[in-house]
Amino acid sequence: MNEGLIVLVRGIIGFFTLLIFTRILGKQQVSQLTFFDYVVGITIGSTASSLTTDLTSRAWPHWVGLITWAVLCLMLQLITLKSQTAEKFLDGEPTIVITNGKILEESMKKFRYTIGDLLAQLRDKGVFDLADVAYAVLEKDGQLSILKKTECDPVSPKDLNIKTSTASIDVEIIYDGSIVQNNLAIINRNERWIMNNLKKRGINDVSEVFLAIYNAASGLHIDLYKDHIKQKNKKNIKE
Amino acid sequence: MKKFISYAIPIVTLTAFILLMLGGNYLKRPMNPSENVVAYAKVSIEHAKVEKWDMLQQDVANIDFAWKKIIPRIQFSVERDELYNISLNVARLKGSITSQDKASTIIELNEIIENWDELTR
Repeated sequence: MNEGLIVLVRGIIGFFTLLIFTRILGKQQVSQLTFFDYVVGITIGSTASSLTTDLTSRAWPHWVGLITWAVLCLMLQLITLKSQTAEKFLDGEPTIVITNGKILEESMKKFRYTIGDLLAQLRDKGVFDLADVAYAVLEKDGQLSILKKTECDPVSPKDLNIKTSTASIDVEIIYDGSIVQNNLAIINRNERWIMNNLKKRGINDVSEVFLAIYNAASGLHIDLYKDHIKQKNKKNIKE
Repeated sequence: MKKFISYAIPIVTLTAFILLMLGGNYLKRPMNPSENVVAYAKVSIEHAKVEKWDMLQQDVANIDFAWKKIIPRIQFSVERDELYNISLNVARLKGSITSQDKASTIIELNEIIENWDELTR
């Protein structure tokens, strides 16, 4: 019996099972997880870990445990997707903690949310004065959403009637010294066009380019492997 | 086709894992008579009852050989301790046969059969 080999095989089983289950369970970001999701994640991970290294028991019971938690988690996800009542019951609901600059202590007490947490999350969102807040909502995942009073909103180009160009998405044309042909086709350009642009900027070969991005609004942006940062600037940084 | 593959890969992978984890019950069966641990153990019990120590020496060698051929096949689907238990039984059996201890020999042989039944259960 080779314990190393057994752990290797069981590790492969655990790793790919976990990969498949997490892909099935969805694309929620870590920051969007509720406390329960977080605990479920830890438990599933811990079970996969015992499946791999706990040779005193068979792999099968651990695997059954893993699939049980994953299936239950998936079932709850489907239930919350179908029923709003179930969603409220299982995931909780957002709570208003500040209205018109006034802290709602009762709501905070209900969720054992401290004033320190509230002020820290307000500062994190760039709010240093409670009076600026019209509404603050404590979300299901513990994040704080803030609606500032209208008089505290920053001025936008729309408020000043300034015309702006249409926003568009960056497309990678060259990555790591290679032309991305598919993206060139998307923007209706060809290799000759990119080579001409490179030559205009004194670049003779694609391999000199680390990243070239095309944006319909701002044009072509090129970043080379050699960054010609002036020595003077470096000195300033040191100082 | 792409969608079919994206469903097929996880299904095939999980099925392979399940077969590997549960395959021990099938894989512990002897593929040929020289791997039949239980048959050797039962014959050994008969020999132990009539104290045929020379034949028992050969029997324990057969059990040891058969068991060592089975271990690599079932090691991924059983507990490590279950494997150790049978290996320890074989080691103790060798000692009890060498010392011609009839009681210990029969105890160990019966324990081997019991531990064998417990494997992959």
